[in-house]
Amino acid sequence: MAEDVLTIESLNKRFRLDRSLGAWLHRAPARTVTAVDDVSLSVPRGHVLGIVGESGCGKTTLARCVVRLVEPDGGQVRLDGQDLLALSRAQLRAVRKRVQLVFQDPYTSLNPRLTIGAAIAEAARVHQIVDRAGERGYVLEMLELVGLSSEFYDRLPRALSGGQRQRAVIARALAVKPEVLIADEAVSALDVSIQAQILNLLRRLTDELGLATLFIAHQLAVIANISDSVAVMYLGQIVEHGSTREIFRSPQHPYTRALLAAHPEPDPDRRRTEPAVRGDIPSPLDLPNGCRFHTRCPHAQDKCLTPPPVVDLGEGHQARCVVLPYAEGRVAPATPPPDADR
Amino acid sequence: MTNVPEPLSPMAAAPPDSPDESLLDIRGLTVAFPTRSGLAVAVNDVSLSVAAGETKGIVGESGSGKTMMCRAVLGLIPQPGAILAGEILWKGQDLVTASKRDMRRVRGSQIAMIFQDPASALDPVFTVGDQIAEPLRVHRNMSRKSAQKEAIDLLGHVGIPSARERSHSYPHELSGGMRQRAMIAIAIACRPDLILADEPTTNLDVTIQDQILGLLSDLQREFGMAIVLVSHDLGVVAQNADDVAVMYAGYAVESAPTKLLFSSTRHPYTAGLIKALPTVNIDAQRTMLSPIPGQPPALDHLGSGCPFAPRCQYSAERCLQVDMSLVRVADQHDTACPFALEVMSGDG
Amino acid sequence: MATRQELVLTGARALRRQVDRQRRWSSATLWTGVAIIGIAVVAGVFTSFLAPSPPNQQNLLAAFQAPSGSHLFGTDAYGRDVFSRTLYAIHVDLIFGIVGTYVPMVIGMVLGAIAGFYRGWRDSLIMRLADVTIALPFIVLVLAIVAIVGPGLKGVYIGIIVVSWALYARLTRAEMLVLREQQFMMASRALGYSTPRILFRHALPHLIRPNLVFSMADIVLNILVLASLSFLGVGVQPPTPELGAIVADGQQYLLTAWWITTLPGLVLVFIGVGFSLIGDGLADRFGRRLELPR
Repeated sequence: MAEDVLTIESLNKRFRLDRSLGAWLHRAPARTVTAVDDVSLSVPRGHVLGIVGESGCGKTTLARCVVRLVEPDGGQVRLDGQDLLALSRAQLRAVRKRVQLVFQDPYTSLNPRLTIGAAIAEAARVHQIVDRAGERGYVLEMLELVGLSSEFYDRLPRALSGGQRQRAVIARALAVKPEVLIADEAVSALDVSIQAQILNLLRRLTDELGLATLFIAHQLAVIANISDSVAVMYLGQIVEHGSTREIFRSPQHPYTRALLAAHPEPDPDRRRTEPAVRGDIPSPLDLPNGCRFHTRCPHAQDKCLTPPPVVDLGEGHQARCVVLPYAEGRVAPATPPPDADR
Repeated sequence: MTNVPEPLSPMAAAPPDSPDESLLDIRGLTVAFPTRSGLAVAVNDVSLSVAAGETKGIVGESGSGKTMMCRAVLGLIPQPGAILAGEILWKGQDLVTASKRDMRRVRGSQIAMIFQDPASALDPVFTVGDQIAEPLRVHRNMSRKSAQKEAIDLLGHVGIPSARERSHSYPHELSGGMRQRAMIAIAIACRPDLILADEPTTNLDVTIQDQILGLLSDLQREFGMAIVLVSHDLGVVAQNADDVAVMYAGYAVESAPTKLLFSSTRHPYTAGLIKALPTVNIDAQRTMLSPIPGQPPALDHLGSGCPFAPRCQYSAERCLQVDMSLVRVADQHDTACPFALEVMSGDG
Repeated sequence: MATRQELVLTGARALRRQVDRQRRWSSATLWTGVAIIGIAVVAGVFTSFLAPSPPNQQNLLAAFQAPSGSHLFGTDAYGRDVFSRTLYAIHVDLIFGIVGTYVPMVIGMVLGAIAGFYRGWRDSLIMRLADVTIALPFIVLVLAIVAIVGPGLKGVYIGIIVVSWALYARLTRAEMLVLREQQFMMASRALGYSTPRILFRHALPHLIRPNLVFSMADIVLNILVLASLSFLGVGVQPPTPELGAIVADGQQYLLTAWWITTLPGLVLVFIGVGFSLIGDGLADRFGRRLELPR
């Protein structure tokens, strides 16, 4: 396997909520939201790591922590061995170009007053990637890379459709020659016919430019299509992690299975059955004890009330569940039994 | 000068499947908005009928006119848009020309609507219980007490745990899924004959979406109401609708029973959508998707002929003459592409 | 058969007419305002060419003459030509209106942008300062400053700059709070742009429009403030012509020589209406767009 460009190690982020005056007077403890809880991941060159999860699972906070748009509480984010979290603000600015973000909403991620050409040129100029003379040529090259013709150079964002804007955003990100691309719900706001164009584009760019891509989405099918490996997040934790093939062929965490069952496949022969899981996602303010999914899990048992360890299923496939992998014989009961004191 | 494509087809092209049974019968509906650069035709000569008790899916991407069509049924077209032509027959009465009083009688009590964003569709200053009781008091002249009691029953019915306490909650105290359940409780309060569900699960998580769609189909079975399910998601429609109409750029381009639509697709746009959709079936997954090339047209700059022609793999000179009226290709199966049988036969 | 087509075409025509009407009305508003202010600016800039006589030239023999061909607005108690004085007064008032509005606007925008962008202690400091400033009664503050620096335009200029920035700071901060959540602002940070670049190149241009709309109403208010201070005797000092001062001078003769007060007063009203019309027109143009609802 290729070397890992981006390595995230036991990253943590809790948001402390402001106490109301009343709570302060009553000396109530400050409440915290656990957004990212001990997440470790790594992405090699030319590889797409998909992160899937529902709202509030911490996937967006994770992305923002990686580039320190949100300051993490602890852990490490290493880019080619260099720890980004140890950098000063000034050092960080120079390193930021190496990790680029593509956001969800193509309508607000471009400055409405800058032409597409100017926006891309600015990014390249600030990081001294081209001189003034070569600027126009470089920008046109970037536009071509994402499949936009040169006529877009002088257009304002409002003259572009959603898909075209997202291409422009990707071009701007690529203009600073990043090594890591983080796509945070980058296709969620797009129509299906356009979504497929952008998915293909991101896949092609990852392969051709050798990017390490972190692709965050809530739609399973999109993840299944683009990713080489997948991490499933639930309430701040990674509950299952493995190659795309493994995750979708033999998911070993009940939450992954629930997501798969709830996914509406465009297949009229697969009519609706009973809902895959019952109940609401618990509030991240008030996390369940033990396994965080046990409140909704159809396989929940007493032993799920203690925090489950990560169970290794071989070939990089891991699941944070003490029931399914054993029940289905993926792990022999002899291998490390679920340790209650972890 | 306007950009209304000519010639406009006679509306008789798509007769309702079974006129005697249909509850809602939309004929030749045309809705337009003036914009800076011309007239945008959001719904263009669309005909559609909904029978009692069925689920009619309407699929389309943004700007296809699916939402505007729903709104037109309830007379809720935002200013400065207007219905330029067509009839919306509700149990035989034309809602386009109905008086405001008649319209109010239909809205909420006979036809109810569920919106995409329950957070903004619920009033933040009233409790959920009050908001469910309100239509009962307005349309059914219930007393305050009995309406409150009924509201609690309804909340329980839509699967909200400890309904009595929850009826005193304000919308912001509920999760997104619970809010949408409350919206559904309001919608079914007066036992409507038809529910217009406009992207009811688009803002919800997939596991919650699954629960809400399940709830809707349970309620439909129980009360026998018809549902118009508007969605951009082919998967949602495939698993829930009996019949599907596909819309593109304001036109209905294909209409068929759900199974038929997927098994023998008869419009290149529908076929393109199905091919562009990623799937979780990892073994059937193609490494590269086949997107539909190009972009959807601007509604204020529609040329003549088929609006999909610039993106269509089968497009030819003759597509500029297509009048976009629906042609029957099989039993209950209509398409706006007159060449569908010729160019698409065989594949599906 | 043809009826449907006719229906659609007539409906479309009616819709277009409706939109055209709205658009024409809003641009008529804007251009009427621009025309009025244009005339005032020409009068204020080319005063010395247009005025028949110097503003303070007295001719006691020609006192209290009613408007006529030689004295368009008549003459006052000292026989000064009221029309000439009015033209010179427009010069003084316009400069005050513009400087007294746009200097505080620039200060307020920069401070408000900093407060909204950084939040934290900078925000608290700047906004509490703004609160204090807004809480002070303006006239009392100007009187206090005048007591220090002596009566005259200088005191009024200082007073207006000390006070007016606060409203622009509030407005700009509120807009900035919305703007900083836009993804392109976050994208600028992720692209490694420096903070001054983000603040001045990416944020400020978006904050100008609302401030500009507000400034049109503010110019009117500021001119009126100067007029009322001069009317009270603490603003522009005689014999310098200023619209408020001219109106004040003439009021004791209102019953015998109505023109001294009334005609310059009407000019003041026209300038006020002109700026308000521009403000309305700009608000229409910036704010409301006819786009297809999604």
